[in-house]
Amino acid sequence: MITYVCLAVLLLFVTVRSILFWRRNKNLVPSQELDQALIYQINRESDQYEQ
Amino acid sequence: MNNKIPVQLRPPRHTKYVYEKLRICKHCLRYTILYDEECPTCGKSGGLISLHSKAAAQVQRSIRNDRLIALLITLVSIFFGRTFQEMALALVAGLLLTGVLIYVQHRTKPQAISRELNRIFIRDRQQIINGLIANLDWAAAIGKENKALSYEMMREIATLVHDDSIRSLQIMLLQSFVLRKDMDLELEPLLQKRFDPDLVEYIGELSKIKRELIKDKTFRYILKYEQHIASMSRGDEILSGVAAAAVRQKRYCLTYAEFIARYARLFPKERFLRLYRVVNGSPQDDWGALGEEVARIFTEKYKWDADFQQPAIRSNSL
Repeated sequence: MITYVCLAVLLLFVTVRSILFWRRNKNLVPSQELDQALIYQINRESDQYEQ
Repeated sequence: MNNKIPVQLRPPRHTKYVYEKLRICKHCLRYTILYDEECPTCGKSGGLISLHSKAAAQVQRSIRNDRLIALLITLVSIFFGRTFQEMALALVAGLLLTGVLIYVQHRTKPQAISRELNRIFIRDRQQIINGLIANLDWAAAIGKENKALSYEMMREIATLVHDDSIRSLQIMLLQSFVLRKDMDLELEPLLQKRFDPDLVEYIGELSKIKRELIKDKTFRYILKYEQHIASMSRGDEILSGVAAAAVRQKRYCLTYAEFIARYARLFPKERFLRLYRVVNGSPQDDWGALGEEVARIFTEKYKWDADFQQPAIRSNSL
């Protein structure tokens, strides 16, 4: 019984992690945008910064 | 008296993306953009890792934890198997599901690293800024002994920190150097929102030795502050130098025709000759005041000059 419960838990765990991984794929940040994101974070409070 | 010093500048560090320049020290956890082997804060060597490596390590840790959990559950399910068949089923199912997990993790690892990098930028924003400020303080302090190194450091910092104060400091350092054509000089990253006489002087120098660096943004800056520049002691010389730099491309001649027309009279002969050939080589274009000024100067000064009678020979010189 415990064996099957553990297998069910493992199945649930793998399914949830896989779904989370694939869903996050859609929100991939391209490297060029990573550059812009970093520059924005550093300069966002500067009145000289232009996006 | 000319107090300029001859220097040798190292070429800038080129990376595909700016964030690749940023590193963190494993020992003191301070960020730096400078490219020394030792951490500028704690002084220890060998501890600086790139942000990509840090993000990859964090993702790898998360991946390893997930795999360990999957293996642990598999082992527990095998341990609690009452029969051999149950244990075998647990083993096969556990390995299969763990295999699926490993496959999914492998396929999505690059995206996970990108996501982690973005998270680091947001979470560690203040630490990154503190690290860059520390870099800047060091660059300013070192400027008293080694101006070339100070400029190189500020050049790196300026790739991330877009601030006119840093640009001004860079310009001041550049103006203390003897500038040469073979030096790795830059201009557009140094342009500022405000009027800076040192920047204008620097542009004037570049118009003599590296006019190819003078492009649209620079022309627009010069046009914006033309009146201020004209009131400087060498203002007309700088403005005519910049106008002469525009002559190297027909596109610039057309775009900035009125500006060039105002200073064409101050051009040395070879620049005016080029301008003359550009204008006369494209009679179908509307040159407006520039066309009239070129004709006037030609008539007054070069009407009988043999160079102006010969057809243009294509050359690579600007």
